[in-house]
Amino acid sequence: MDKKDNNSEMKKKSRTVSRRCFLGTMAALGGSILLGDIQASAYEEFSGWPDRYGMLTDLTACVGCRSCEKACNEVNNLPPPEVPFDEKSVFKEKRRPTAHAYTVVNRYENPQDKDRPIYRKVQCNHCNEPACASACPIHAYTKTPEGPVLYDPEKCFGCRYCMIACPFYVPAYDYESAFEPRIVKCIMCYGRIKDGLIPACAEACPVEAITFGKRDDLIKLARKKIMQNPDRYIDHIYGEYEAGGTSWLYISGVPFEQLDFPTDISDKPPIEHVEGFLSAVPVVLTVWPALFGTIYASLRHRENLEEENNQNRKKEEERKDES
Amino acid sequence: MNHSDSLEKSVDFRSWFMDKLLMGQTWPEYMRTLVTPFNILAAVILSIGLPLIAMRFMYGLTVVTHASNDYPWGLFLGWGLFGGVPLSATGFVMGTAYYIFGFKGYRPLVRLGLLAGFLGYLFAVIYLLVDLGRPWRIYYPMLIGYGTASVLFLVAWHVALYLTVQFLELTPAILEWLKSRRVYRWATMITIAMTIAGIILSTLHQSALGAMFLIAPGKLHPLWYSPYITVFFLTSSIYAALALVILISAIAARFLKNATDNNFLGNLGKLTIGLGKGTTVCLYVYFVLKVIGIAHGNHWDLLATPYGYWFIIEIAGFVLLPALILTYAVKSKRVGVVRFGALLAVAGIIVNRINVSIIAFNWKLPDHLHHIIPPWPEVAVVLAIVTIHILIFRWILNRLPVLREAPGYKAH
Amino acid sequence: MKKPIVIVVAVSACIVFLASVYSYAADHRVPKVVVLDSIAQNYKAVTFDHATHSMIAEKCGTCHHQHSVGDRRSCMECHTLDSSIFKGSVANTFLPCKDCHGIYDPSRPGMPGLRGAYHRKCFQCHRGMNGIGTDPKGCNETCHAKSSIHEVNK
Repeated sequence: MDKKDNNSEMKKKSRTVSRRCFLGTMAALGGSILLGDIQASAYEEFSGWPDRYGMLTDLTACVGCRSCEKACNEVNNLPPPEVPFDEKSVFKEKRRPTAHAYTVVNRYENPQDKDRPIYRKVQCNHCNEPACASACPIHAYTKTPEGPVLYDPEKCFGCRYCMIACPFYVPAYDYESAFEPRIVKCIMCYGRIKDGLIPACAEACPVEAITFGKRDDLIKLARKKIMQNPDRYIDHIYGEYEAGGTSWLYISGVPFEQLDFPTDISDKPPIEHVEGFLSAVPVVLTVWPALFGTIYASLRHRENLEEENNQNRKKEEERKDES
Repeated sequence: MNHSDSLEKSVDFRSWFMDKLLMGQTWPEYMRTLVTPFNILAAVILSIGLPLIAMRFMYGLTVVTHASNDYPWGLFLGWGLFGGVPLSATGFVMGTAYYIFGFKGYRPLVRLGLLAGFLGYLFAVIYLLVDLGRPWRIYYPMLIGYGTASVLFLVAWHVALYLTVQFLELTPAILEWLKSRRVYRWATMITIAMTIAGIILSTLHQSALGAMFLIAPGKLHPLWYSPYITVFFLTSSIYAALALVILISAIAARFLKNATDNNFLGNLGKLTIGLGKGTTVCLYVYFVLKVIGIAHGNHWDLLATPYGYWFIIEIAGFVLLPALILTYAVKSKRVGVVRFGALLAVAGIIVNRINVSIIAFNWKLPDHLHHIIPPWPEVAVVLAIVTIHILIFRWILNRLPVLREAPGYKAH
Repeated sequence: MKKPIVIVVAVSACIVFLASVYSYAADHRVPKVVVLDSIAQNYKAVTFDHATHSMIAEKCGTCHHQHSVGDRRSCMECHTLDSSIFKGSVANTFLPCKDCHGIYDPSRPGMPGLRGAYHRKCFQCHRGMNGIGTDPKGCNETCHAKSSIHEVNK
């Protein structure tokens, strides 16, 4: 936790500094633009919609019954699974969300107790500042004020850059479709939330290992659980800061990297890595024409001068010849 | 009256057609010139590749690629877009050198650069169309939704605009071919404006292609992921362009002699050395930048890993080595060696872009190296597109005044 | 074959067992058997042998909240507030789970719904037994088969 606090503090510092530097950098222009040194454009800091919802998955509670997978499949009218939902053979390999499954549960060996394997539910984490939405050139993604990140297939042209950008390897693509391929991912049961219901997976979970609520409440709850059961949980809420924070949070009894969670992603929202470049764009757009136009003009000017000189010299020579 | 008029017109058209498209030959004559070993090879490649492209559009991407949820991009973009665009910087580099900086001696190579650039971008778009899920929506970033925070949005706009700019830059050549005068004068007047527009668009989207990976720091291997990746991409595109002009001008001089003139052939050696010089400088700059990149991220320890070895091979074997070869070749004025160095530099660009977009991307996923091997249909499609690219390039070089000057037109 | 003897022994063992359970239950006013049917639309009701479980658990507190969890119970609900007899004055008035736990309410994420509360308690011991926690089928085989109504609905 210390590390996290430090990080966020440092982040704040660097932000104020870089914002102050911004005008200076504007003046410096030139090479540093291309080096992408401009860290912050003058953007308002947005720490997420207030009161947005989230989900808290308690990985110590999950027993791998796959009820969430089943409920998700039914609610979202996804095609029936190739292997029935009560079949344990699927655990043999690690799965990921696909065009036919918004969520999957994977099994990991428990180092402390072989009889109690650990399960990890994988689905869209609904980032506070989603990389997919930042990456999409057509704005097909929306981060709703309620928390879910939604995708509109009517806009998508299928570049799949969102899949490249997602730090959690979530969006799946309908490669088999030639005419209507689309991205498929969890929508946190946006419709159900709007209707006052809770997401289908959370409703189906017999242990309530998936808890739906306001993200802020869930963070408090997670902290309390960790504090009251220090032997049961490691001291880390995955998703509180990762990739700028996600709506979906996890608490676990073993370090997250043992469960294949990406753990080396920075606490900055992914788009912040690109902002330096993006803020250089208008500068290049305006300065380049002036710069290269001037170079062109000055060279032509010199050429003209030389030509004039040459002509003058010729005239003088002619005059000399005449005289 | 009417009848003879139309007859005259059809005769006119016939002679125009023979003159412009068949290069002054009759159909049988023209057809006979087409039977060459290269064309036969091209026909074989196309007869495999074109049906595969058709299948891709009928049955989806899975038929020809191994694209998957973890590996959304493959050879089409890795080779066609990320490899193709830096090599297509030829138009911007040669145009800037000639029109803005006044390197007037390079006139015989300027149009070659412009044409290579235009076709390069055109085919980058074609690779993209093959790869896009719904290619008929290609204009969506321009009309339907504006993802202004997306680097790809920027790339889409810039490539579209730049394609137009490059076409306009080439119009003088087309108009000379069509023997137009009036429009020609208009076309030459916008040259400087178009060239500067080309510089803006090129600097931005060449670096933007690198910036596309900035959003995925955890996925790209740290030796290739760098906040400086935009500079790497831009710098390397400049030497890629110079090296590619060296190569294609050599190929043209060897295989398309009829399309050239003495001005081109006579100056080529000297110009090749000059371009070699430029390439060398850029290669050294790029090499130093790459080293600074490692120092900046303090990734020295990673050099001693398998990916590190591969990284060393890339920057020692495909950047430093061609730089050294070119240094020697330029000093001793050996045109052949310059060309070899340029070939190595071009290969290096492709290696780098494939590394960034395919080999070092997703490096942490299990079985990664197994996943990135493309299936044969994907390779066959790429080969088919490359073949079409070459055929069209050759078709234009044979007809338009690119490698030669059109009689009666002054340099502009 | 000594079948009759085996049967006699078995029956008498059962009688002794039931008698002891009965006396225990009578003493403490605890339910012998509880029918858990809150999710009967999906699964057949579970007949929970409370008596046996309470013997195995030894202490009621193994399953029931004994000392204040959150804001739910005050001391005097169970104890006589007289310091001299405080400890001995336990009334054993443990509440059934469903008196507090109901349908999960997202505005109180710290309060498990009834089904969650049940299962968490069950899995304290049953996880790792009979496929529970290792096989999705384990739950149905051990405690509750899928409800036939549910099958019809499908």
